[in-house]
Parts: sequence; C-alpha cells; structure tokens
Amino acid sequence: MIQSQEELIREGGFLFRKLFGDVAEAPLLPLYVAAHEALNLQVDPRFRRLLTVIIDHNLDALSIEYVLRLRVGENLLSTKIAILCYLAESSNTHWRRFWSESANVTACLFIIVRIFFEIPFRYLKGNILVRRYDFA
Amino acid sequence: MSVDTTLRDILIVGAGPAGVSAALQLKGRDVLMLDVGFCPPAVPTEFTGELSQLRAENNDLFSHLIGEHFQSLSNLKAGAKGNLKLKAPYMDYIVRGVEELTPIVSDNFHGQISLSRGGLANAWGAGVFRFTDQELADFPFNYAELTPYYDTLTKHIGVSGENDDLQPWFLHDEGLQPPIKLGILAETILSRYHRHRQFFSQNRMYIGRSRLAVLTRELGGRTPYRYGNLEFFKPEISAIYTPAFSVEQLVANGHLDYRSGWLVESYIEKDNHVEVTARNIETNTLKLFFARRVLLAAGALNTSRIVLRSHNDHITQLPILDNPLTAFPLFNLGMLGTGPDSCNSSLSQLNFIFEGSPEVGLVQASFYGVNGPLRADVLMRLPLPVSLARDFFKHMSSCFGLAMCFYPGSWSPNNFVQLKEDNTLMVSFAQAACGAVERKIMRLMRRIGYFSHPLLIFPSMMGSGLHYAASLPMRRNPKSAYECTSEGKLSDSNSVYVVDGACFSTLPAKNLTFTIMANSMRIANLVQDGLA
Repeated sequence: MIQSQEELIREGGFLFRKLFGDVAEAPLLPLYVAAHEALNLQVDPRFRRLLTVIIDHNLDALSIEYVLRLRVGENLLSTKIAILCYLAESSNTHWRRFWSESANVTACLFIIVRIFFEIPFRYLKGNILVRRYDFA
Repeated sequence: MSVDTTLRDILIVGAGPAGVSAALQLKGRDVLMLDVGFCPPAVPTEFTGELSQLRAENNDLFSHLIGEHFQSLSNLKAGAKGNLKLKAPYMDYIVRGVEELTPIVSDNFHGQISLSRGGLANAWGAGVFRFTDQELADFPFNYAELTPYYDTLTKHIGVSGENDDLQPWFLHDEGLQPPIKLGILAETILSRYHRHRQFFSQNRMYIGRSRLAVLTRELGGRTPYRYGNLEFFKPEISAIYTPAFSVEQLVANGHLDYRSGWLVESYIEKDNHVEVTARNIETNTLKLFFARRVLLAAGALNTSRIVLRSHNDHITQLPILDNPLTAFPLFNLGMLGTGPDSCNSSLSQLNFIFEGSPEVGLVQASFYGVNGPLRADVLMRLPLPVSLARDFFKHMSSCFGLAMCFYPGSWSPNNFVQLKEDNTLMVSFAQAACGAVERKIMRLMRRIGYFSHPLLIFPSMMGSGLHYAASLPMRRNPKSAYECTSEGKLSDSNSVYVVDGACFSTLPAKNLTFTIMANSMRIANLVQDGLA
C-alpha cells in the first residue's frame, strides 16, 4: 500500500521532530516524499496502523524502532528514519547534527554516560510501548 | 547475426584488472577488447577538494551525495546488497545493468559484479599485495615467475607503501612511492606497536603500512593523492589507480582496439581460431568476432558463465571462493575529544598480519578511519538507539577506527556456481564461521591501548568481500574441462585462456587483484610466445 503525500509529510515531520527535536524546514519533507516514491516504499496495513498509533499518541518512535530493530532487525520504521538521516546529513543546514568540526571532551564524556543510561531506558520504554500497543 | 570478419591475434573479454593487464603485456599485437564498458557520469567541477571543507563552505551536497534519483538510498530497498562504495550517484554506474545483462540468482550470496570499464576495481580499496611462495604453493608457478610482472605493474600503476615489518608477507618492493599520510589513530597504533614489537611477534601478529595503488607522487600525468575523503562518492580519482586509466592510455597510443557496448556470451573453438559471440547492448543484436586466441577476463563469475554457456552445460557446479570478511572497531579512549582527524582519507592506512592456527592460516586485516561513508549509512548498524548512534559517531569518531579482517577462501561443496537453463547464474555460498582470530587480535591490541569487544564483530554476508576466485583453477595436471593448465589455458581447449581470478588455484587472505594482474601478464606473455 502506497502512502499519500499528506500522510508522508505528517509522518516525516513527526519523525524529524523526534530525531532532532526541531521542526523540519521546507525542502526536506518534499524530499522525504520523493524518496518514498523513488524507493517505491509500500506499507502493509499492520505497519500503517503502527505508524498511525505512534503519531496520534505522540509515542517515542525512536525507542520503538530500537526495540523492533533488536527483535526483528531493520524494519520499515528504521528505513523511514534512515531516509530522514540521509536527507538531513546531505543538507547544508543539518549536516552538523552528524559531523563535529571541533574537539569536545565534554560531549564525549556525555556520550559515555548516555550509553549507560539511555540504552536501558530506551530499551525498557520501547518494550513497554511495543507491548502496550501490540506492535510486536 | 552479423560478422566481423577480421581475424584478430587476440581477443580479450572484459576491461577489468585482468583484461587490461593482459593488454598492457600485448602491446604491439593485434588486440581487440570487448567490454560492456559503462563509464562514470560527468562529475560537476564544484564537487572537488575535501569533503569536510565542502560541507563547511555550506554547500548543499544533496545531488552529489544522495543524487537526484536518490541513488544513495538504494541500500534501503528490500533485498539490497548494500556495498557502500557502489551506490553514490556518481558511483552506481559500476554495477549498472548487471541485473538485466548478467543476472545472478542466489539465496545466500551478497556480492556484486561489474560491467563498467575498469570493473569492480573502480571501487576497490586499492590494496596491493604480492603473494608469497607459501601462498602460491597450490599454484603451478612460484613467486619468482611472477616477480617481473609485479615489478612492471608497480612502475605502471604506482604503488605507495613501505618495506617494513610486513615485508616477509608483502615481500620486498624496490619501486614503492612513499606511503600515504597516517591519521592520528593509525600513527599511534604504529608507534606503540614498534615499542611492543617483541610482544606482538611472540604472538604472531605484525603491523605495518598498507601498500596501495595510490600515488603520493606524480606519475604519468596522474596527480598525487589529495586527502579529499571522496573515495565513496567520486569515481576515477586520478591518484587511485583504476584499469580504466590504462584502457584510455592504450587506446590513445594505438595499442588496443577497445569496443564498449559488447557483452560476450559464448565462444566456439574451430581448427585454427575461435568464434566469439557478443551481444550489442544498445541494439540487442548478436555479432561474431574471430580471433586466434581468446583471453577471458570478465571477472570470475562472468567468466564462469561464459565458459559454462559455451559448453552448453547447465548441470556442472563449478567451485567458487571468496574471502570471508568481518569488521570490528578498535577504540583508543585516550583520544577522546581530540576532534576530527586532519588526515582525511577512506583508504586503508595500516595492515595487520596474524598467523593463525594451521586450520585458519594467515589472516590479513586492514585498518581504516570511519569518516569515509555517510553517517546515515552506518547508524543502524550499531546496537544503539538511532539518536545515540548519531551523537556517538559525531563526537567519538576521532577515537576509533575499523579493522576489516579477511580470511583465506576455503573450499566447500556448498560454494558453487551453476548456469541455469535461462542462462542466469546461480551462486551459492555457505556462511563461514569467523570470530576466533578477531578475539585474539582484540586481546593483543589491548596491550597498546586499543579496545574492542567480541559483540562488536560484524560478520559480512558471503560475497561482500568481492574477491571471487578459483572457479576454473589452474592445476599442474588438470583433470577436467573446467580446470586450466599452468599457462591459464582451459584444459580441453587449444586457444581459450582464463586470465582473471577464476583461474586462481586457491585464495589467500590478501587481496587478490594485484596477483590477478601479474598472473594475467604472465599468461599473456605465454600466449604471445605461442603465437610467435
């Protein structure tokens, strides 16, 4: 099943906000739609329901994706998030979200702390959401 | 079917490393080279320089990195093979047309073949390795017989590197250009290794500079390497050798009749010549070409296809080898927060040699920085939530590199190629068991402050090593029609030679391309003598 343009724009905006904590600027979302067309990405009804529930309930898409990736490998939610990452990384406004230009010891130490806290937190949260909304 | 009535001395099939090396050796002969020969698209002039600089200058790199048709996202398609070097918009020509023209069916093969001018060497890591006598033990010739060809190639293509601790395995080379500049991580590994050399040698591990077909000095109009970190995105970088450069040179000097747009399908041997059938990919028509000798250099898989098709054989399963490949990161926490490395390169900087147990044999690893591919390419490969993976790469990339471990190819009844009735090639590869050597390397690297964990060993799917070989192996006493003599000639043939990886007798862990080239020159020389 191919998603409509409006559906993809809404979904892209939502995932972008979850990924970067920011509103996606104008050219990125049309590219997100075009990428789906180029890849001929289709969703089955079960996955469409998953996306709708995530967006309607403003759920933590990244934790859900993480748990699903650990359970069943990369899935359509991973693909959609990856598309946004590709588009953001190649744009002149967002590449700094992926590449550092200077030394930053504090950021490195913070990453190490996050590894110890964020992984169990997201794993637990993702598992609860997957179970509660029957995404498994 | 049309006919080209000219009887050529030699017809070479394919313009990859093997075909081009043979053509280099056959200068002065009447040589026709048939090749599909897809060429790279024109790269806009503004996409030059250094990648991080291009980003910092606020360029929108979408069309260069992703492509107007979203080519770089092709690895997201279901069932994609996902070699990161073969999908950028200016690089995907390397695997163009394969599905339609030379289809492969497989459940467990994740490899690639190329119909481009220069073949898969358009995206190679440029690692250049001479095979030792030990590695050539099953071949019907020794190192001394290959040496003059290795030396000639070193001068022709330009090899940078050093005669260092790896010399017993890489062998002495007089003609080396200075090695490429090392990044901080690689430099630290090497200096600490030198301080602990005895410890490593007791544990049979050795580290040294990579030998690369990459110029650090000008050669024949090609410019030295500029550390642009564009290897994943830009084709035919002047400093990095591709056989396409030699094709241009040979054609310009009138040494080669190169015809692109032709896919060779089969051959028939007659009394004193060979008839080669090729398909024009534009018009989809067949044409016959005649030659006194034919050199098959279409790459191990396509050469196997041509041979099986010429024998009209849809039953035989030819053996096939590839190097099992794994990757694992090595962290140096002392480098935390040191910022981006000033050495911008996606090339291999160091090589590790590990003499494993007799069952495993010698294992070779190449050490790379992690700034080559797009970050989006690798985020999902870490067992981390994606936002954490993004920040991890962003801030921690200065303190880890990637070791890619190549194992020798091993024979298995599950590894074979077979021609199906519809002329598609069925390829089967059993997944190899890896991991033991990586754990040992990790333990040894701890001594010099580099850490990793067995959970971070990523085994690659079979075929992704792109080192296919030994489907039509050279033997001292060939026993079947699908084995070659020591001259590379198919044993049931008078005039058809195999010069690519298909004729390898075994597949050592070291990258085979340089030896394919040297052996191809050796065979071409024998063919030339035979014609004389």
